[in-house]
Amino acid sequence: MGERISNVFRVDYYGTPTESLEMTRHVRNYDDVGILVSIAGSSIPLSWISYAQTQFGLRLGCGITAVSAADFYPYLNSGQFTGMLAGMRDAAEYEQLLADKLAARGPEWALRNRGSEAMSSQTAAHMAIMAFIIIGNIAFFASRRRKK
Amino acid sequence: MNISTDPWIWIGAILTLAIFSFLYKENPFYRAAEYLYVGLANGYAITFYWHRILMPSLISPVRNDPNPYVKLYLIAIAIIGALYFTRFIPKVSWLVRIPIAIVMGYSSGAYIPRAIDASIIQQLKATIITRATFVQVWDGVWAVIIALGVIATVSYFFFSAERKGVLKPVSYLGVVFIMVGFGASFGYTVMARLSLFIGRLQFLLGDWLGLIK
Repeated sequence: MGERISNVFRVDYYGTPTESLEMTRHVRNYDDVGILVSIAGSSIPLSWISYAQTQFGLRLGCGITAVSAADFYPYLNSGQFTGMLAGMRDAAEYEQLLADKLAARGPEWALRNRGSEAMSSQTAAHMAIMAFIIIGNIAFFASRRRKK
Repeated sequence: MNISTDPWIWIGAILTLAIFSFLYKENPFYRAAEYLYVGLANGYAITFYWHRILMPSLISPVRNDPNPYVKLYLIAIAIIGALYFTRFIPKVSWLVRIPIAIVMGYSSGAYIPRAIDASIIQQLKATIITRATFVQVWDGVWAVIIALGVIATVSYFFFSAERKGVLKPVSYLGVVFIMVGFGASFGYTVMARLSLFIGRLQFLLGDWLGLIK
């Protein structure tokens, strides 16, 4: 695809040649792509780093599940990812950013902020888990001291 | 309360509750939902490969491409790919080694040099500290912490020398960094699982029961 995208994707689902589509007519290869954003629930964005970013210098962004975030941060730190949306927190931030932009267009563009709504539940659950971890640690050290 | 009248929402809600019923104990509702999920996922994957890969990349060009060499090339590749199915015929099952060898060889040649560049060289470059790193003070501080973390963590996995002298505190620091890494992974995993649960509750209480808007 670094040489010619239509060599890999010759036709679309309906059999129309990709080179004749309005959307892809002017996109010959990665040189014609400003940024590639990979939204995935797996390690697919890492493949894009190997194949598109390292080899052809394409700018990459990714939207990933929180599970993968800790594995992907080194690539953001090294600049191999230009940007990263990790998990619900970043999704809520992006949602807010988008909502602010769309709000300027009028009330009919208002979105239901599902991500931002969920963040309060997420925060409460995190606080509960942190409390359990602290209580668990206190209990562990207390029982160890008692055994001594 | 504004309960949905959409049958698909009801199917989704019932299947969600069937999956959640596993929290009580294994039961026929959970098993039915699980088998349905596996069947649907397989069915989707097969139709996806058929319509998005086999049709446009093999069947359609073999039928329509005017160049006979392209047709021969694609048919030869299809035959090699079909050798995977010899696994089911014990007498000729050794033939499966041919496509496996081709895939392994191609993947190694195509991927290893890029992986070395992407995951080792570029990552090492990111740990190099220069004067420019300290233009923003905090960037500089974090760069030093990252470089220290890399050195300490790598030293923990250095088994060619006994852990004494300088190596002992440095490798101990490596353990601290590893634990911080595991902690971050655990935290993010908890966040991901909670996100999924919250998403399902939004669906049940919002889309299905209409209790939240």
